[in-house]
Amino acid sequence: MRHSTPVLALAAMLAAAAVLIAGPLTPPPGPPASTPKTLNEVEPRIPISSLPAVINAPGSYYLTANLFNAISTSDSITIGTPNVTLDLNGFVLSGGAFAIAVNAGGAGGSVTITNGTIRGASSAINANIFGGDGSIPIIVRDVRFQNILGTAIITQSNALIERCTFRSVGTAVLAGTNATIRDCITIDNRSAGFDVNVGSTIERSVASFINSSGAGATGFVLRPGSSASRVIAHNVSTPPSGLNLAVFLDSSSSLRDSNIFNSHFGVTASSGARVDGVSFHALSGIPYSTNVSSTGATIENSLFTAANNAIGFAGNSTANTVRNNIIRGTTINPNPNTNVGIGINVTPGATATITGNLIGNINRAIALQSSFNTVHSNTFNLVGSNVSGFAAGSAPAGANLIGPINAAAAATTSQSPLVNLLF
Amino acid sequence: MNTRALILGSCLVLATVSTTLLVAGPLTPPPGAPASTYKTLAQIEPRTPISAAAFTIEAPGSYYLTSNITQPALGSGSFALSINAPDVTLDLNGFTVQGGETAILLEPGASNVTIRNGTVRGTSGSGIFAAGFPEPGNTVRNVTLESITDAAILLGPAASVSDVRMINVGDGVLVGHSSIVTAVSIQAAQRAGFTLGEGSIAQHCTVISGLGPPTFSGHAFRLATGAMAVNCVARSNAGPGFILDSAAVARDCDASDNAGGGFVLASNTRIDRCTASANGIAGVVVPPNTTGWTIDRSTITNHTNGITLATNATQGAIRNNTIRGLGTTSGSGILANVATVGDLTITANTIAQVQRGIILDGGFSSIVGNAFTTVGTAITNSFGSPASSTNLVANVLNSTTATTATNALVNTQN
Repeated sequence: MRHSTPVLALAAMLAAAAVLIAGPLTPPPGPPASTPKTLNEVEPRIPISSLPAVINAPGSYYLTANLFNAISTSDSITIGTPNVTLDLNGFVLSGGAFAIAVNAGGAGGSVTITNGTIRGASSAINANIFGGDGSIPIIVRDVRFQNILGTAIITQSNALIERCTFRSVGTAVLAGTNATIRDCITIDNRSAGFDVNVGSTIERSVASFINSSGAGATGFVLRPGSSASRVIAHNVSTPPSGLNLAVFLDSSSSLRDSNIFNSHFGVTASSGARVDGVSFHALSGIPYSTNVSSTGATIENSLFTAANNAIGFAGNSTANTVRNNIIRGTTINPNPNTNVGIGINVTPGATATITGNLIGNINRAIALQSSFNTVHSNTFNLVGSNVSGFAAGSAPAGANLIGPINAAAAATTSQSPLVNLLF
Repeated sequence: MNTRALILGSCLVLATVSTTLLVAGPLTPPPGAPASTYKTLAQIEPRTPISAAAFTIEAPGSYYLTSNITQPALGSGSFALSINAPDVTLDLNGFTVQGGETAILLEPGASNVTIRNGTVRGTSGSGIFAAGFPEPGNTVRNVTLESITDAAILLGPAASVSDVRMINVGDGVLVGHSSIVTAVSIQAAQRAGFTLGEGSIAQHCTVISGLGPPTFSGHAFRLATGAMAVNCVARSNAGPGFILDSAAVARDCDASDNAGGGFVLASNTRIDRCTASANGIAGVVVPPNTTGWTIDRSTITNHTNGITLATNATQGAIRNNTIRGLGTTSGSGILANVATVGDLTITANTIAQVQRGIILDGGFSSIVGNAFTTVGTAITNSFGSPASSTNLVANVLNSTTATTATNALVNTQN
């Protein structure tokens, strides 16, 4: 068998060749076609290269350059159809000084706008047709707004606005119902920061240095049933003055785990509103850091420091709750018996249940000017007077349930469980 | 008619119909000049490419890297990229910017700048650095920074930094007022972690030494006036975990194994629902002359002294906390061993496993409603004697007696 090795090698080569040529000989169906991508496959979106532009078909659009609208009274981009995504592509959309940069009021459905800068228009993004609250759910993400004459973003219901920055605009956002705003910053505004309608949420956002020159600014406006958490409002007006307000809570809205400082007024709360875990600092406003103007509000677990006055209940503001807060004023005797230096002020006609609070370094801890209030289990430290009428040391008005106020005697085991401590 | 003629006739009819259909379109050309219906390459990628260092962006617009770029020079004033115009978006496009004294320099005038999506590494100075008086409104997103000698990111007011990872940097993140920093992790910073400007927010951020022994002695987090840290973590650093300036708040934050202490407070600050564990010095440090501070709803464990108060630390509230030490042979839950400490409110805390629950040398404080468990002594002064009678100290009862007490303010011990 001298030839066995070459024979085997030849057999192996034939077998290998058979494997190598074993592919199908039939060509793929259809006409021959190029395998590289076409340019339209590389960028299938629709370019926008000049202004004004009108979008009348659903789809994905993008800017191809910084675009300036030289027609001051013409909207820059008008969206008249739903299901549109507009990518600013990192570019700047500007001009149209007396018009809207992106008018989505006629979209009638979903619109998404992302990734770029809008500046120099009367309004930046407007999806609010006829001032109504319809159904154009708009998403605005990663957009910077600057030098907008009026409101930067106006939306209908179900808007999502995130990671946007607003500078030198009138109002940052005026949103319809059920909006979500998060991770947004607004500074140097002329009017309001974020104003959201019924059932909206705001989280992790900042409103600061609003209306530096004067009057009427508001950091956050929460319409009924809305919620804000982990937000900061500061320097709402510089210097703090005028009617500027950090947060307005409409009925049944809430503010949680947030900071408010170096401003004029802190929070104005309406019926059923709730303030929980908020830190107030250095608010110069008179009358109060938190002013409750209606019924059934709750203020709890919050911290008030360096304030002229902390919490005030206006007349006819009834059935309110103030519990587990810490209130520290500026000094025990700043200007006694004026409207400066009151921890909790219940004005005639108002009622509140006030429990578990620590109030210190202030002229009057609690001023009860009305009947039917409950005051117990509070602690008073370094106060001019603890529970009084409007004047320090005067008797509270009317018939109130006030737990005994004791100092050393409270250390015994025989005190009322409703005792207020004084030290 | 034979079959062949029938087929030919049918074909003729079909051809006629097809021809009619094919020529049925409008013959009038569309208005305007003839133009290509295809996109140009400039429309496909309209952004401005950057392919080499050093490059300066001098006009607003959208820019992107086409490759990794390196500035080999590391001397003073060198940079890989600089930006001196507003409204710029710089997409690193997944590439790396390396070298220079500063990798990406934001010069005066560079506001509303966004830098995203890539890596910055290997500088002799800073990573992304706003020079001079930093402009507002700049953003860094989805960037990794490595081996940066000085500040990894330094930006001005209203800055936004998110989804950033840092390893081996000098300082981590420094931002001006009204900024938001989210989901940023810093590992092995040499000097400090986060330095937040007034009224800024940090959330879901971490500072972890991570490379064996602690490597830096600055702060993990420093919160300027009114700033807020939420859900942040400082672990295994040589310096303090959180330093709070006036009116700052740390909420739901964790500080563990930081040699410089867990939380360091200032006047009018607050920590709420935080956790401090096994830090050096103490879980919470209240420095001299600090007033109006609050420690609330927090868990402070595994320290020799849980909370320490220095000279003139006054008007503080310590409420609803759990403080657990290292055992009954050493340490204290709350150490206030200077006579000038006063006007404290210490209530509803659980203090356990320490030699001495509360040491209080000053007066004019209130201590009520606390529970002491497995402690040598509950409330004394430094000499083991009862605290000053100027304090309002509720009776300390054992748990059996306390069940019959009518006053919910009593302190209990078992």
